Amino acid sequence: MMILQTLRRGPLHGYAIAQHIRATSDDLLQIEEGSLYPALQRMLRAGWLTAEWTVSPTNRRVRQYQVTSAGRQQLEREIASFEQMINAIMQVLRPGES
Amino acid sequence: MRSIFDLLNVFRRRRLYDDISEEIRTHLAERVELLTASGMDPKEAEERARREFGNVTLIEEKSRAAWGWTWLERIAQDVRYALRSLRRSPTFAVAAVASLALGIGANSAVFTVVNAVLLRPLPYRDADRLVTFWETSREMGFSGLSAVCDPDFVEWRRQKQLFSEVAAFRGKTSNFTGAGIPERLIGSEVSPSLFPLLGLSPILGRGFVEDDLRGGRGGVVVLSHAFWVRRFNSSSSVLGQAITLDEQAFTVIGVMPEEFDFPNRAAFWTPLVLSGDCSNSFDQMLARLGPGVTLDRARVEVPDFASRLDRERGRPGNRAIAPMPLRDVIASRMAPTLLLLSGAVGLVLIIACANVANLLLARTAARRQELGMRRALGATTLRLATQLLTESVCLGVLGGLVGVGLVYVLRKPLIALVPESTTPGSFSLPLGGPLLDWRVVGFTFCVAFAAGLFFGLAPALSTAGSHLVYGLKGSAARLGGKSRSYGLRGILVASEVALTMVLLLAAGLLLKSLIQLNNISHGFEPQRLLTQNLELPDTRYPDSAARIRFHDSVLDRVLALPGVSAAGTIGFGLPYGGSGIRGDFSVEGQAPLPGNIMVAKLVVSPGYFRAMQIPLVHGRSFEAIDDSHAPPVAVISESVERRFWPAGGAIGARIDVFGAPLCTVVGVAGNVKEMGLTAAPEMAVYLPYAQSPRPFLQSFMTIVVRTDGDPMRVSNSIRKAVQSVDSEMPVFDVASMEQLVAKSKSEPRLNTAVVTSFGVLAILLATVGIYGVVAYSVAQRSSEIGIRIALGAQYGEVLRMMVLQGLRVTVCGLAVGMLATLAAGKALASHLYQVKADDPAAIAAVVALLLASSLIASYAAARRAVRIDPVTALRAE
Repeated sequence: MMILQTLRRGPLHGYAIAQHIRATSDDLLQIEEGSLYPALQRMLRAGWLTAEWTVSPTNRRVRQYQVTSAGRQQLEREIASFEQMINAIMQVLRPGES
Repeated sequence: MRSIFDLLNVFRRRRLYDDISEEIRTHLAERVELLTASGMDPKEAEERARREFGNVTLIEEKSRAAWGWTWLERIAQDVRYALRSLRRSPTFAVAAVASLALGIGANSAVFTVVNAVLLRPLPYRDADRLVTFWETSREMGFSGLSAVCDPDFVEWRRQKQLFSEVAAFRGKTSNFTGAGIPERLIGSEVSPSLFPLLGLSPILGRGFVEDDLRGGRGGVVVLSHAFWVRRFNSSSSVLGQAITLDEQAFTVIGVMPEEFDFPNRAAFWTPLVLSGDCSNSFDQMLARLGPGVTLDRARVEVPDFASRLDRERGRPGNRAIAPMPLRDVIASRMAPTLLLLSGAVGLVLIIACANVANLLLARTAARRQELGMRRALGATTLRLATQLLTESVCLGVLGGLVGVGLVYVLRKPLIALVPESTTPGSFSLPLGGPLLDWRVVGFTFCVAFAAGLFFGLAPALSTAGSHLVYGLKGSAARLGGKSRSYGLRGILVASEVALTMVLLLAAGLLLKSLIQLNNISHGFEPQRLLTQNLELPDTRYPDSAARIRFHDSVLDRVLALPGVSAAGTIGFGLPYGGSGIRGDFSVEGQAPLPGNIMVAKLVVSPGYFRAMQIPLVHGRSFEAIDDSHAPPVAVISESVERRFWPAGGAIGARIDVFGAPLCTVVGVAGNVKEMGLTAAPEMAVYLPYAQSPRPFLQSFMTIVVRTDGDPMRVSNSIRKAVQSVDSEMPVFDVASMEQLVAKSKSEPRLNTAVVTSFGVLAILLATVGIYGVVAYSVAQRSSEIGIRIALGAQYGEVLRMMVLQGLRVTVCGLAVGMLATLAAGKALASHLYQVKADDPAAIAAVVALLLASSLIASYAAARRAVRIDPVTALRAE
């Protein structure tokens, strides 16, 4: 979900995605950067992303990932279910408020 | 959809994998660059980047795994590894592949025949919609292809709501003359609808049309491909040419495609001209079910219509007619033999598998350290088991490849084993298309694959499940006596022994039946007896007088030949000749036989009894004086006498054979097996040729000649003698009586030969198996034996201990085999003759044979134990 959300703003390559997630999550989520790659491959296979080789601003040959329309739908589904879950948890924690 | 996409991607996966690796390298490089740019030491930066990234190799692997091909790669890797390790131990590989090739090859061979007979579509259009008419007579227990009269056939053809088309055909034989050597041909008269019904048309010329039926009988003929090639050199100028069949000219209008010989080895076809007469029922029928008509519906409506037809024509309704698919009629003849053979080869394959499993067990035991090492390096049990299974499946597939090769080489002789139809009117197996088709190849590989899994399972489980420490420590555990895999090997070999016992006992019982068959008294002396057939066409010999003249002068000339000691003739009904005329019969002053008991009616020359050496029990044989002017006489068989005159007094009685005039019994002859070896002797009535009350009975004769030496040596001079009387008279089916007798035993003999050779194969495999178990155990226990001997055990004791181990396995196998045999015996019963399936002598012989061979095998293996030098054995620790 985080990868898809990151890529929604525009195509990025793997390192940039990792940087972005690290920056936005304020280092709260301590995950191995490497685990990004199996996830990317799975999403490529599922057809949520497309990838193509381009040259990065730092003049390296990098693979840029882009969200497809199927990926966008998937993201919306995930956000929706995530919100549902959060709401449910909130209701349990603070009953009667919402 | 996704799976197709994945499959396409398999070929691009190298590039995808390279992409992943490059991406990860770039990632790390970028990170390092950023960190060094912020002033970090490059080495430290590299370390930090890697730490943050995680295990590079693992992540790369996981990224690849996302594409889901790793299982495929693992298999490819295992196969490569398996082939490599097989190459490293060629002896093992050859032994395993050879025994599998035999086991699998035998199965594919039998399957090739099963395929040709039962599975392959018949080479006719929509062959599964073709049905024949099967008749079961309620009183006589007769069942076979129904034959109807011409007007009935016309009625059946009108049943358009059931059949889209019905065709009639009847067997016919003709003398082909006027073009070199006269020859007797098998042919068929067919209705013009037959060829279109089968969906076949001539490759040359045309088939029949309704117009061919006008203008008298015959006129046109269609030739078979084989006959056209043999007698007309495949020349297309044969069209329009006239050929002579039974003195009549027929114009050739067509040639049928290769291999077509419907219904039974036909060389030619002429149009069937229908009459309005319903007294003769000669037409067999083939029909195509109408669109949307199911076989089930036909099964209801056909018998209904048949009995309605019988009622309308005033016939006794004592028969039932049902549709039967053409395939079933063809297959029914072969089914029992095929079933027997399939069972036998199945057992051979299981035994071969058990043997290879044994070899594998011994091998994996030797590889325990290698496998233990791989386990220590992190391989999972599942991974190791898959790898061992891959190896055994590789072996199986290799065996299958060799097996298919064997079958390919042997395919022609194999199909020749299919017994030829001996009963007239049945169908020959239509050939055409390759025998080794995708079904056979597919079957073989399924069997090979399954066999690989089957024999690989036990070794794979036992090894993969064994303990890591045990494997690495290796020899230390050997002192403990029996290991677990020894038990498994024992079970395997015991089951080999059990299966071998089943096969050997089947072979023994079949062999005993065959011996019984050989000892059967025929009622005549088959040695030095030559038989040959003649057929007198109506056109050339129109009346009885002409036939008797021909008959007598041929016999005179044959008797005058050197080397001939006696000669006689018989009309339809030579023993083992495959034909015969049967009918009802009554004695003056006695009640007629019930309708289901018939007697064989045989027309013979006076010399027949002497030539055949059929003993005369009372009275006299026929004489020259019993000619067409003399009062009619008959000779009856002993069985007739016993039935009608149990107290004697048959001579002088008058009997009704073919209606008036009644014949006087002048003699009683010994019983003869008319209908083949296993049939009970029939009641028979003999009439003299010269007095034959029906001209038809004189149109066919078999000359039987008793010779001084080898009967085949006089066959040429007999042919010349016949053709010196009539130069256009073909002599056919020349065979010695011993050949005819042997032919009637060909199926039991084939079964016996095949099952016995499988039995021999099985006992060889089982013996090797027992040897293997004992030898393995000797090797495993060598240090124990060394200690025993060092402690003063006698060599004899050690030997006995090891031999007993082999025997124990055998006895277990025999006990199980005995139970299995009792079950299998029932299945075998129909193939046995005067032998019970639990024949004690056969069982005792088989048990003794197996015990002896296992004793030899155990002893041979155990002798190695006493050669163990205690010092060497103990030093090995």
